[in-house]
Amino acid sequence: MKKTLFILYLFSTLCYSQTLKGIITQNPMAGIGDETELSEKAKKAMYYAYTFSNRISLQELISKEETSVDTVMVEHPEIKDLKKGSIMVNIRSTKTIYYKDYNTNVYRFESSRKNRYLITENTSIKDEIPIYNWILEDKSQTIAGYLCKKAKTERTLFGRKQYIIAWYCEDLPINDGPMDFNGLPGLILQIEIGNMNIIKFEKLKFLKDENTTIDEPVNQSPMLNISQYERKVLYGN
Amino acid sequence: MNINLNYVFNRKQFICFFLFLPTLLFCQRTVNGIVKDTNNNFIEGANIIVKTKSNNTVAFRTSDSQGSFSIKINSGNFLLKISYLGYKTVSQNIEINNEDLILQPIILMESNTELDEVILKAENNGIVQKGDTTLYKIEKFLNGTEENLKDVINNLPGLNINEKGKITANGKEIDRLLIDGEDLYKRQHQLATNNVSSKMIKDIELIRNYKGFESIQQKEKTGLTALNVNIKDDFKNKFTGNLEVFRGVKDKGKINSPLFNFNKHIKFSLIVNSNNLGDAPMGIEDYFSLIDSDVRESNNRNSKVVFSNLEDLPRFLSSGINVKSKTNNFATLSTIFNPTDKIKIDFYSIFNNSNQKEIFYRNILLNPSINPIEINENNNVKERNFFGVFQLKSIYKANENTVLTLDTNLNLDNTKRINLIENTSINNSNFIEQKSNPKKLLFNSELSLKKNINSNILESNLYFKHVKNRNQNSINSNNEFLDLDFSNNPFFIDQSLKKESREAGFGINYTLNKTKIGIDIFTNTSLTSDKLVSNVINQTGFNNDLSQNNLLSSMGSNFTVKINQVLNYTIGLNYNYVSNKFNKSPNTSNYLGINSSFKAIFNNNNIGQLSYKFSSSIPTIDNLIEEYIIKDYRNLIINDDIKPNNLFPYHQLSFNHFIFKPKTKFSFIFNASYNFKEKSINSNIINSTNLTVSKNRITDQDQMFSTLLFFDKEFKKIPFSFSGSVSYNTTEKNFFESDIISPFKNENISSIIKIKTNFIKSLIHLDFGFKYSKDIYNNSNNESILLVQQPYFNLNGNIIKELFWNLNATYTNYNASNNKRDIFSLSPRLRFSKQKSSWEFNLIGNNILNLSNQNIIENNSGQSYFEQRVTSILDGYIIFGVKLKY
Repeated sequence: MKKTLFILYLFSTLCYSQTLKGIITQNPMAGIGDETELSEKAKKAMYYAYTFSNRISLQELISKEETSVDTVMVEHPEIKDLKKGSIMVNIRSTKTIYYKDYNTNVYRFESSRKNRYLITENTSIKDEIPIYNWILEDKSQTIAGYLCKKAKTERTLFGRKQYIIAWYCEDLPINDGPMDFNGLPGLILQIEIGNMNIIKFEKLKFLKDENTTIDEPVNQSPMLNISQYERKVLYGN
Repeated sequence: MNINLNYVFNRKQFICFFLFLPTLLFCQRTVNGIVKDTNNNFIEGANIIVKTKSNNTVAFRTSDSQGSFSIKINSGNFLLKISYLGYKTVSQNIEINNEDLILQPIILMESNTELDEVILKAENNGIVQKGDTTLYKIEKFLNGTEENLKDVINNLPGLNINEKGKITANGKEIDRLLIDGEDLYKRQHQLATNNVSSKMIKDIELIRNYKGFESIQQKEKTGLTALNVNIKDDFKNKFTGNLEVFRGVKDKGKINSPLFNFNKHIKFSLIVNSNNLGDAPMGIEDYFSLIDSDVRESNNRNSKVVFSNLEDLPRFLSSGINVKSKTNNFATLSTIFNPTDKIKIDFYSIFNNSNQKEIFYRNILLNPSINPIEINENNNVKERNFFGVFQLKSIYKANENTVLTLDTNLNLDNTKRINLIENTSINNSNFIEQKSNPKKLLFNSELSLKKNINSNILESNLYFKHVKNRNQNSINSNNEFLDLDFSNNPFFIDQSLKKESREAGFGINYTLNKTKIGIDIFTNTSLTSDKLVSNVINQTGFNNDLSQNNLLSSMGSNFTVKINQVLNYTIGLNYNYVSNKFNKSPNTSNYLGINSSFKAIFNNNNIGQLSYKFSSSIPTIDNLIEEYIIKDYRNLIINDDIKPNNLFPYHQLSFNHFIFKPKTKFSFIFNASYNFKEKSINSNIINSTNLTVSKNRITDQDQMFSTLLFFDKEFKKIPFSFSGSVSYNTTEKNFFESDIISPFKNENISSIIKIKTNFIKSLIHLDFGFKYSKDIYNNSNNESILLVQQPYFNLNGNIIKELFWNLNATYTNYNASNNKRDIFSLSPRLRFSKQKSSWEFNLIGNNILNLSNQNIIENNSGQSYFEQRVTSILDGYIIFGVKLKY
């Protein structure tokens, strides 16, 4: 009798395992600085694969991206027919991973990209999962077929204040979201960072009876926490 | 010591005061709870959401590793929702009073289906419901063989195109058809459905409680349904359109050229068409909507369209394809111009020229109950008609709360008709030639102002209307007719009829909107002056010179009470005063009107309404003719006992209910209405061998009942959609047959059942169905019946990617009392269209098995006669055409 109960217990735990998979797109809308208009190349959407299982989430870049340095001929503003070569740099990561483990409260970020001199730079971040103070609003809209509710918050990154709008779906009881965003009563299906970026779920797939093991990404450079990384980017140390 | 104690006491009081202050201000209490699964394990990371009764999220937490949570909330009633991935969501009501709340452990049950359903729902359903708007993402419903808007609409659940070419939403005709947000085609939906190509359409929205540009109502539900067809950006800001040229055997052909420009400020459409295939720009209902602004606006004022037996409507409107030959040349121009946010100018015009020839044989049985007279006729009717409409509507929206509208409308209608009749019933056959030339001119101008004063609405309008009718009627025969004296002229008469009407009116309507009640107060005054002159050359007894002046003044109010979230009750009372001067003899009368309705709005897609109305109508100048007017070679009309001050009270009772479920793609409609007239104008009909005289007379029995049941369902698991409707209409009247009261009853039962496949990717798409219609006419217990049964099927698909084919087959069985007919019609069609090419080739066959001489059976019976017709219909054709898209 005890044996059967044990087997039943085992069976039931196996039975209710599940994985949520999805595709996330990131659409850059505007740049920072004086010239906020983006070139067609910079506007190209980036695609990520998203997996959530056993309270661990992983967002990994799947579209092939590369930093490009193009020389474009620009007409002189005053002298007609005089053209000048100008360099247009579009820095894109070849690898981006966001990893959040809610069981151990670990946030990991891995990125690898070429800078404007086409030298590869690696970034590895390890920290606690960031906490946002969301303000829930009464608005709703349908994203990818799901009824989503609006929430907003703000954060300071690299000394700039960013206003963030999140659209979350209460029907999907996961407190996760794209990138490092989390902590709403439902999966965040769309994030708007100021007017610069829209990060959005395009497709969701639910795999029942399937547990996906998600491993913590291996760091390619020494691990920093978020504030150390910010300091490094801003002041170079 | 005393002082000290006092000080301590004071300080305690002071502290106590501060202690209580925050609780008084915020009254926040903590709710504690634990989340576990059925195996008594704690669930970490479960979502706990606190919602108000109106579904707003006020707070949320996730459970910690011990499964516990605590949330601070203000006191009140809330809904607690606990959910976790892979578990069934639990909801419970909580009430927070003045103390913290510790909940019983919350046990979540495992479920791996719930989230699956949420995801499936989002992935498979192309319908998004957002408030009053239902958005159809059309790519979810199309299979690639669609050519124009008509095919797209037929594929969307809940939407349909009815027999008259009008778009229906859940079985009910839509009030507005918008192309890119603008009402470009008014009620002529068929112009849009046949000319807007499916490639131009981005998506389609069905909007309930539509508020147009001229609407200033902010909260109130307008009750209007609109369908908005959004155009892809690729087709905007440029001229686009196509040119189609078709040519076939026996001079059959068609030229059609729509031209569009969808701009931010101007929406423009020009459609030019010339064909002899039976395509018309409008039908009989469109005709009324074009000439009467009240029908057009479908507002709650009573329609002033009067159906009188003197009215001579162009026949091409109702003939459809039941003609021997028909040529239509028409152009419609529609422009909507929005120069600024405040101004909208809407110009709409139709110009149509039609030439048609009808051939029919009819068998009429007069007086079927007593002493029947049989008449057999061969008719050959040629008609030429020019019809023009010019409408100009200017709207000035000064601000959100004020709208000024000037609506001007001009109609021209000019018909020339020659009817050659061979009467074979009398021993020596009679040949009759009837010529008529009705001309109609209508001018109508209305200025209206709407103002929103603190969400109360003031509406006022001022209008002027001028209608001029002229008809020259001549009848020529080889024998005597109408029992007239032909001593001075050889069997020839010439009648001229002139009718002129001028109307000016003014109305104010004030609507008070309070949260629970609405009060509507209105007053309308109109002055009408009508004239009717008729005479027949060289004959006496046919001279009418009538004039009627009417002052109609009405005032009243409606009260609407919102009983609860769902139920609304309206009751209204109005008082009407009529001052009438008929041929200089004055009369006055007055009457009361009552209306009342219950409306239940369960949600936007589930609405029921029960309404009752009691009012009266007054006779028009057409009913009051003093001497005979000749209708045709054997019909005369005259008034018998209708007085200008007669009132005709009537009751209208109606019930309708509709349900639409976008998620399960199910819609249901039930409508029923009952009209009962206490007194009405009918006829005393005196039939003799050569002559029928109808004398207008008051009757006390006149009732009508109609009901419709409609449903539509698209299945999830099998790729079929199923729709059906049944309707039953009956009219019961008493009329007089040679001064004896006689009953007349007409019943019609009709039903349509359709089954349609919805494969997204398939070589063949199929829809098939069955139409059934039965008309029963009953004159004093004698019956005349026509039964029409029609199974049909439609197949379409593509052979290769570029070649589309279509096959329509219909079998129709006509079964009348003494006549039967079976018609099998086959209409194949091939269309070659390359994805990026601007050329398209068509080979169209229509009714190819019967390319000549085909006829159908109709039953046109009425009071005191049974009439069966054998009518020639338009021949089938085979045409080849080229379409150039640009």
